[in-house]
Amino acid sequence: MGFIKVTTYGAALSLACLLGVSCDNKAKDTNKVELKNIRETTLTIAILPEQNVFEQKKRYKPLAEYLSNTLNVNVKIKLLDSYGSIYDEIKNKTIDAAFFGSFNYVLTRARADIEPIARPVEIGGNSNYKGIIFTRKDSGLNRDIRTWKGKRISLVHEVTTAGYIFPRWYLKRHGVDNFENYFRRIIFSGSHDAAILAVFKGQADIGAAKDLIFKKLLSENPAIRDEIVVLAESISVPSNSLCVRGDLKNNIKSSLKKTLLTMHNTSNGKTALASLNAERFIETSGSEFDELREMARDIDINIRTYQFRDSR
Amino acid sequence: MKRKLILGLGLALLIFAISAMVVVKNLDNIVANQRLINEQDIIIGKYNEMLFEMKGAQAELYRHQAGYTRNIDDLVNYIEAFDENMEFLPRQYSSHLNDIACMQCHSKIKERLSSLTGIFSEIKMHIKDYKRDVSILITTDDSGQIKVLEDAATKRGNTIIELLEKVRHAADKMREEIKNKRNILIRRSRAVIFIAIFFTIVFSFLIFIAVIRGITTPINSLIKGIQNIASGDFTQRVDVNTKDEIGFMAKAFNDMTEKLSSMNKEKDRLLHTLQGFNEELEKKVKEATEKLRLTQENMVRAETLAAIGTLAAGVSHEISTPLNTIIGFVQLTISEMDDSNPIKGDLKVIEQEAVRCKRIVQGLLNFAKPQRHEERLTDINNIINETLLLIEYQPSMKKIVIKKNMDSKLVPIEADHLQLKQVFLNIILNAVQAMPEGGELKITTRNVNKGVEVAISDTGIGIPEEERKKIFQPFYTTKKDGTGLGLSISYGIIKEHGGEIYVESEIGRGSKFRVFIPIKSSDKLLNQAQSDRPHNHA
Repeated sequence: MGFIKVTTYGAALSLACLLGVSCDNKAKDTNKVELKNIRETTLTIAILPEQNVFEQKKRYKPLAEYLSNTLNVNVKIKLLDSYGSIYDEIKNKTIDAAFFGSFNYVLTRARADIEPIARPVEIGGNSNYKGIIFTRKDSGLNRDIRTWKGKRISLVHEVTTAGYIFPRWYLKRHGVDNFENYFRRIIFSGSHDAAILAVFKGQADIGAAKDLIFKKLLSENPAIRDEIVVLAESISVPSNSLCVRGDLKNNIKSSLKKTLLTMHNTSNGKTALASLNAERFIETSGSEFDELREMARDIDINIRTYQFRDSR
Repeated sequence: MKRKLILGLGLALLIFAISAMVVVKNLDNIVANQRLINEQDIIIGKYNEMLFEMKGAQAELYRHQAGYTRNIDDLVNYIEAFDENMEFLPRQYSSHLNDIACMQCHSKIKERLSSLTGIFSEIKMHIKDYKRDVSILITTDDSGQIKVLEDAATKRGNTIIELLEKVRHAADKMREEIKNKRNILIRRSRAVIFIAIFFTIVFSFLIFIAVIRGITTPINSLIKGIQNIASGDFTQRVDVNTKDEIGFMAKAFNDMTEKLSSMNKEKDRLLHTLQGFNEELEKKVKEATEKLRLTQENMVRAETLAAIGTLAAGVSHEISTPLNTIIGFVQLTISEMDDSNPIKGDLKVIEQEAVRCKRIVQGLLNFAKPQRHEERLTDINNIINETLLLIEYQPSMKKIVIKKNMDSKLVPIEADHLQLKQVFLNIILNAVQAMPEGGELKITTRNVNKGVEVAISDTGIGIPEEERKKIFQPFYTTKKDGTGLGLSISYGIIKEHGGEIYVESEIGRGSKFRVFIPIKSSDKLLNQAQSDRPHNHA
């Protein structure tokens, strides 16, 4: 009888274990299908290569997603490989809006119908930037521009305020009219961080770039901070502002502006702003660029006819 | 039987359950391995994607630098996608570890992932530099930098592709190993299933046989026991020790058999007793019938003798006078005749025959006329010896050897001396006559229960069965000159003494006459008195 009991209980226990083992592997994964809203309207926003294009894409991507969701339009980020191409993109209507550099805005505004909408206010409240001139500590260069003569200078592009207009303006103020001949070689690096890195790597003796990019790069790379010294700073000019094509529908323009100016009130908006290292957007008006226009005139640049090199 | 069935089913179920557990465990491992293979497929797919992306980025970079396009979105997207995949891979690998329950396999894969981590770090470092170089390359106008950066980016891109191919190869290898392991598990599971099925069938068959035997063996034993009882053998018992219904039935059957056996023994005892009664009754009936027959015979004989005696007395009385006359006149005639007279011889024959007739008539008179019967204490041995003296000098005794075996302590009995002598003489003479060529005459006396027995035997020709019944009848004789009255008179004398005569005979070997004479009550007292004094018998 004992053997029968043991056998019976053993069989029952084994079955229980069997059921237990069998029930262990329940479907763990549930395939969640998220239906994406297909939007008919696309709003293409161009980004200038003011710094590493990958970083730029990374920075602006949350903003594009936020705008897409809020405006219910497909906001697409288009990276530009050159500051100079933005005018052509506007003219050809391959883009609807762009974050313009300040001088780029001035130039394009003089030739095409664009409207400034808003620009980001950096965390700390700064919505402007300055151009800086810098060199390596061991370059032997100093604030005396005479020491700069015959050196290699790393600039960004001929349509950038910090990376071209300001150093040319700065030298003009210090009596140097022939900017291009003052230096042994002028390197247009294409972006602010590339211009800084060129100096840091010794590919250039002196450089000019945007202070915001300079500060960001220094914060990410302490070696640069130890090696690079700033020689001169420009006046403050508005940060890169979002400008739209003038022929864009008013409702889009207005809703875009409204969204940007109020996005800091939403959590998703704050997240997108954080990616830009900004606390909010503020309205930008064309008059804020008047000082820059003055600066251009100082160095004999006619913004309507200004020809710049763009090898691309 | 219910228990046996439960036991059998339980064991079969146990085997099935254990096998199923092994198979389910193997299936779990197979599923885990399949999951690893799937994840590995995803990883390999990611590697392929990354290779495609990197090669696409290289191509886009070339197109851009060559001036075919100013669109850098695709280039950036390729590299971004590459970056995302690069982030995805370690997570995918780490999910491997979560899928593996086996600690040994866990550590083995962890070791592999550690080796891959170095390559991933290297790729990450290269991609970081690649992105920096490419970013500068696509934006700068500096021809000097462009050349250097183009070479650097191309070289770095190729390095990344080489590293990717290396890790993809490792992933391929790992996938193949896991696949092989999975296939081994599948084969093993299949083998376990087949073995389990085989053993379940075999074991079920054995259980079936055991159960069938468990059922049929006790039932057969029971049937055999019933058959034995039916044939009358109550000693057999059913040897079933199971504790189930059949065991209970066998025990009840054995109890019943025990009771039947007791009843049968009692029946046998009663039958035996009844048989004894029957035999006793039969014996008594037989004895009574024999007595009745003897009595009947005696009565018939007595009546016959009485009738013959009456007849003989009358006939003898009427015949004896003329016979005496005949004899007298014959004798007178003979005496007066001359010896030379030729009829004298014939007359002598007439005289002899007449004398013989007279003797027969005298015998008839003796037979019919009750003799005087005087009983006194008589020693039988003496009577025998006296009888022998009468005949031992006869010529016919010369060839006869007499053997006597007489009991010296023979009890004297109350009898008629002369009559008994006549009886013994008749019997002895008959014996002698039965041995014409000589032989042995044996005479034995002895005390028997309630009497004395005298046995007289010869080695003569013997008496046939049919004659033996008639020898005591009057006038029955086989001898030429016999009267046929000797044995019938002897029989009458012995019967008068209350005794019996028995005849035993065998043709060619001889006859034996046993004469029994009973002791009368007065003899007992006398014997008692004689036993107190010393014996003096010859």
